[in-house]
Amino acid sequence: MTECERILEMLPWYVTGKLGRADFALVSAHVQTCEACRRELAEVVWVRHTMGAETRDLPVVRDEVWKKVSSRAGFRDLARVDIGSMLVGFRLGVNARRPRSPVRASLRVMGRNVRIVGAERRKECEAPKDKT
Amino acid sequence: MKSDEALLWSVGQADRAAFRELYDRHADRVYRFALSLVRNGHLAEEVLQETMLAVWKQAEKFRGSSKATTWILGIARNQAHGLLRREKKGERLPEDPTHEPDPAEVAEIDVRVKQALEHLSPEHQEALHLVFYEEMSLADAAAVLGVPEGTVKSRLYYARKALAKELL
Repeated sequence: MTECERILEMLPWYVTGKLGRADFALVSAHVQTCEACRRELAEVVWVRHTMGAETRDLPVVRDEVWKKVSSRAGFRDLARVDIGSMLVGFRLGVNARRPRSPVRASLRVMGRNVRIVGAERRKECEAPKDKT
Repeated sequence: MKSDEALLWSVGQADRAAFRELYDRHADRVYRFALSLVRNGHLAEEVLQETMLAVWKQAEKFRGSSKATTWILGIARNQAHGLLRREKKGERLPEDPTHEPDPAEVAEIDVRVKQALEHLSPEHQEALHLVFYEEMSLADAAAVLGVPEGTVKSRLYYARKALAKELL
């Protein structure tokens, strides 16, 4: 593979800033001296700009989609009883789409729901470490 | 703020709040990726629905060997291609008659560019979207597409040549 071919392959990630420092320096130095690769670079920049125009101002996802997803995932109870206040209370829900635990009950203590009936965990394993 | 991977783990434990947060973080991204493939707002929403349902059902299988974004977009890609295959065979149900396309969706996008992209193959369209819009690294794009890195490079090269031929 010639150096130009290698540079050509890296150009898309050069313009999106996804190259490592060494590769970035390699491409920068090469396009300064190679007119053919400079033309290719201009085309890549143009394509990126064009893609930006194509996807600019796209409509956001409608709220209805979440309603459909949550309903199909079985989030909506067929019947629900909720007594108490926002801070302290009791909730009982029945949902046939949860074959393993159609009935769920939870106590609300200081605004936080604590499950007392109905499976919460699917498996026991360690959570991955949070990167943030 | 929890990382996507930590959220995905919580979703695997049937945590609804985590699923909602994951949805909020990724819905637009999945929708736009789907839109770049199926070119129809209603179908893109359908891909989004199926993708997020698959995430809900399969989150416990996520082992963290790839980024959560890569994993989710990989599912979206499979859903979009499956839907396109069913469309070709005429197996799909009629569209939801209550769905009105947003006029802004049509008006705001450069028509010429849109038409040019429609002439590209789905493989070229998705490669362009992932690298230039999502700004994915080569490794991540290859993971989403399920192909070797060399294939992504060559698809991207031919995609931009085809796009330039259409528009220049």
